[in-house]
Amino acid sequence: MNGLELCRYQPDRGVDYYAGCLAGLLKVAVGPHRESTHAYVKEVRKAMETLVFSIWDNSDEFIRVVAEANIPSTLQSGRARECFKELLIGLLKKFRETTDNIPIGSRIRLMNMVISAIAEMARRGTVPPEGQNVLSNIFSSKKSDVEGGE
Amino acid sequence: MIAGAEGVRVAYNLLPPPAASTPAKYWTSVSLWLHSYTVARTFQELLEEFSKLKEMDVPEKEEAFAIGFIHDMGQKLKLGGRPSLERLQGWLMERLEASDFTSGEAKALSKYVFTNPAETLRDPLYPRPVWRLLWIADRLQGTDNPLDIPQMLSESEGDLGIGLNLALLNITIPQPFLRSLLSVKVFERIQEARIEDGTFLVPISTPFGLATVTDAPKFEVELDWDGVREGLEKGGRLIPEAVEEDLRWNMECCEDPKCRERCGGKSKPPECKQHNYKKRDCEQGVYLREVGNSYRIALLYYGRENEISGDIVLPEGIRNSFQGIKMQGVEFEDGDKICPICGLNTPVGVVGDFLIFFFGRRRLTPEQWSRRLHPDSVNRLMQEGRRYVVDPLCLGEAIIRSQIEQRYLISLTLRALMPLQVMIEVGRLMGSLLYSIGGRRAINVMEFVYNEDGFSRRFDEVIGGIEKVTEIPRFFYDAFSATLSIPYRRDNKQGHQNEWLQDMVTSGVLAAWGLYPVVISETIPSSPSSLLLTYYKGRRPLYSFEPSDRRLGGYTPYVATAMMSIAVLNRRSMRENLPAVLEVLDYPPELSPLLLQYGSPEMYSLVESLRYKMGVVA
Repeated sequence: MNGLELCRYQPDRGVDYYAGCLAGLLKVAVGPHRESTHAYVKEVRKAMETLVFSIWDNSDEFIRVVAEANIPSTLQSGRARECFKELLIGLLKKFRETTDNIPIGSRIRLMNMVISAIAEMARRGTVPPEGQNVLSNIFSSKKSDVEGGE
Repeated sequence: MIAGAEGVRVAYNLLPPPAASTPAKYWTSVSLWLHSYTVARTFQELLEEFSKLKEMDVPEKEEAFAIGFIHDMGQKLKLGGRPSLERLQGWLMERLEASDFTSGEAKALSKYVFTNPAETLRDPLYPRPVWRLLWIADRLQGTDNPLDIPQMLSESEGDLGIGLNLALLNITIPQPFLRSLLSVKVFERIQEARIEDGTFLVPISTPFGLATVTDAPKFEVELDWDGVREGLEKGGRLIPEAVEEDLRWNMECCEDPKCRERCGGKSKPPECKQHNYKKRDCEQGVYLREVGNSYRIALLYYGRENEISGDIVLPEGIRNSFQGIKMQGVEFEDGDKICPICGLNTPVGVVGDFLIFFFGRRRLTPEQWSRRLHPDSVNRLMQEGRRYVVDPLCLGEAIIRSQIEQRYLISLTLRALMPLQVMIEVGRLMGSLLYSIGGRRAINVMEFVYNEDGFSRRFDEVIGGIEKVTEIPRFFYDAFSATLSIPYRRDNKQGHQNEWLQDMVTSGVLAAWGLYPVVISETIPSSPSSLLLTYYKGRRPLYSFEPSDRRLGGYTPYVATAMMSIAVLNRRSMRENLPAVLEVLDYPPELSPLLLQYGSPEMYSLVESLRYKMGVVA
């Protein structure tokens, strides 16, 4: 599968998939073992808060814009930025789908859990295999990129 | 022989927790581990019995176990495409070698990932009858109806070259503990017949009785009432010796006018109090339409020494509750009294309050009975016109129940058919697992799914405990309704929310090890469940989760581990209180991977790695 395909939204991928892959990218972007978890997830937090508090009822129109506006500046590779954006879109879309029918209080609590899970995985380096897979594809050599990647 | 603890070890090596909890069926909730283990052991049992009748090239026991366990693993894990199946094959080869198979054997066995001889009925390695027996073992897991078995057997007759029959044994008395006691006795008789007669005999527990596959045209079991007096252990006693001594003293006192007068007054001598003598127990029992001494009745029916003369008479209403089982030394008679617990007309009975004699200060709550009448009406009915007495069967039930200190039972209710021997092994495993978890703080229980490159620090502890489980808690198996029950928790005062937490974690561990559907209740459940956890305190979405659900069943490993990790969900933010943590149980099962990711990133990573190695995820 092409590297960017691994990052794109697919309905059969759960919230945990996007969270795990984002944690992998953030581990690289921020570096491991920071004292504060805030550094890892400030962009993800902002995007999710925007979704939950501001654009919930019109999310289809705005999710892409919100994701584009919240790519960490520390992520410099074009492919990695593109992948991050796609993963963030996937996370927001999937979160919107799965938590649509639960009370707002629970939704906010879940949002915090997602953010906390991403931060913990990135900081501790416990990135799941799908996250590792994305990393190895995104940061593979340019040659494989030209050939369509693996 | 690869059975019991050794079989369980191999099985968990091949399919470790929490992958063990992957559902195997849509029609009932049964885990892949339990399905595979049952097929493997059933295949072994059938081969063993078949070898008594025919000489044939059959696989060794270890090999038979592995074939049975692996036979449809790829299909049940929903692996699509050769690359995924090859990854599963690689995993199985590695794990078989870790389970003391040679690399050649591991290679040969792991190829059954690609072919399923249980369906094709052909493979060059062994003759067709062998694969037909595997087919039967697999098909038994496809139904809950014992009456489907004759069709399977007649389809197999051509291949096997022998005619096998079904003998259905059943006991349908409404007392579940007594039924469990009788199950033990029936199993003992069947084991004796297997050894003595050399007949083909495989007893299979179903929700509708004990289906016995045999080559004999007719098979019946004779039970002696004296076996009931022995209790669960052969040569043991149902009533503890000290209690029996008290009963005897009281009985003699009742029959001695002087003693009766001495103990019947308001100020009783210490000896009467010491033996817990009650005047009403002498007078208000009934034995064949005459006034009966409750102490004498208890000794007559359940005393080990059997020194009391009299007939064992049971209510007429249960005469037809024994199918294929002959009760020796028992008569049935109609009576004019009614048992307030089971509702049967009975000619013999004891006064309701006599049950206190066995329970002491511990009261038996109405919920602990499998009752027919509304709980709050029992006391009222007992006072109404002396029409009501507790019949001897409910008395026996109370005697067994009184010896269980724990108020709650944790039960496994099965619908797919399972050989009785295998059910006992699963009961031992469950007991060992519960014993190993017991006393640990919920937060430390997470390690019960680890194994060497991830799982199993506690693996050996649990497996080693299986052999010792008879020393641990006693467990009850009802062969006639395919239910396993283990005394679970004392009624302590730690608060409901902490109890919930403990229950969630415990059932999460059991589910991760492939043991579900679980029921936590005060008595042995009377009907099978399809939920991961059926609870006595109402239902919430996560724990009324149905692994057999087509759409959501795949989340079972995550739901199980998320339930285990519920105690750590609030570890990082101490401000959150327990009700907020328990609120997560309202979330849809699709979010269980996320809950796990949050509760324990390490565990999530482990689950994902395991699924990747087994080819479940691309």
